[in-house]
Amino acid sequence: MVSHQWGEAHFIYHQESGQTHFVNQSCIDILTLVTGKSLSTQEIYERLLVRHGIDEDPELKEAIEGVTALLEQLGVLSSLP
Amino acid sequence: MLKQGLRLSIGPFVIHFEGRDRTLAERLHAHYPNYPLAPRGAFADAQLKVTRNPTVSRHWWSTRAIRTEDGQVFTTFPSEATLAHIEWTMNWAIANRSHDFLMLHAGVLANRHGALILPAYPGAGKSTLCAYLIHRGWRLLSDEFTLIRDESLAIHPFPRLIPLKNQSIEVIRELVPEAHLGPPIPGTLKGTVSHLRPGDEHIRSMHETALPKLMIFPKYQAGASLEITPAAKSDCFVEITQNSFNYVLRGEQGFRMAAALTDRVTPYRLVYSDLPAAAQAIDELMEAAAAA
Repeated sequence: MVSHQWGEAHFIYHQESGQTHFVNQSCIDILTLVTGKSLSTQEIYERLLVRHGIDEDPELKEAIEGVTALLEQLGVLSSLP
Repeated sequence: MLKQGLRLSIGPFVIHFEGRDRTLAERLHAHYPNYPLAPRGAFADAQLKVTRNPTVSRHWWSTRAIRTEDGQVFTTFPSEATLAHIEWTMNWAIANRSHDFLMLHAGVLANRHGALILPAYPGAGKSTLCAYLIHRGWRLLSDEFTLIRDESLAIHPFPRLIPLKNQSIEVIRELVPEAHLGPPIPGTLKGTVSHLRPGDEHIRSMHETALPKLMIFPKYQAGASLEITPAAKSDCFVEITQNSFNYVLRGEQGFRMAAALTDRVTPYRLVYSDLPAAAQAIDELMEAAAAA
């Protein structure tokens, strides 16, 4: 993934489409996890729980679903297993 | 005069002019007198041939056409507008072909500290600022194109005429009486245009690159007080991509160069109506950026 960050603003260059996207930290967190791997939403959720040191957070799981749907829509992310 | 053509070196480009046309000869002589000739047989980045306009029946003797390499008519115009159409055709040719550079639609000037980039949409006062600043110690790299070839970010000069429009012509005449202004050309798509010829010192240094230091997004607003605000780097990056002629074509390298350029410059927004005050503020911003 080719990206650059200024403060809380992240920009990613998507090599396949040649498009540049302005994204937030949640997208970067997820893209960093899934790049080169095949992870399900549940696996992303579990890894983010570990990363942030929390036990359970239904809101996080919901947010992941929203963000992955957006990234799929942009074509940045293939459909998750 | 130009039956066999004339090839001028202008910055990194060679432009070929051709045409048995008195107006063309006079305009080139008056406005491009000290540009070096390119070697015979040199590759021309753009070929402009001025002919009579073949598509009109009325006033056919006083209208002209410019044809490009394929021989097709690119633009037609009254002969007194020859210079404006040469300039616009050159802009079109360079913007559409010179993709070995990342090209920004931005004026670019330099002083001892580095380059000042002025990206702006039409009407923002970029050309007027450039015209004023080059008479106040700044070196002209270009009024229209910021050309960056690689990730060194060195900016290549492309110093040409500065087209002043409408009220800007009188503003510069008053503030810079020593400026070499060409005859006003009324009735163009952009209103009345007069071309300012940069001094020979700008032509002599047209192969000296400059490194970016400061980026200012200018906006002329009649009657406005001078207003300078720091711009967010993220906004700066977006503006760079939107002001680029070929950001998308340059692909990943374009992204990397635009990001590196954003990192390198200190960006500001400038609203102004008073040219000398804006120039002084720009001098101070460059000093501050250099000291940082």
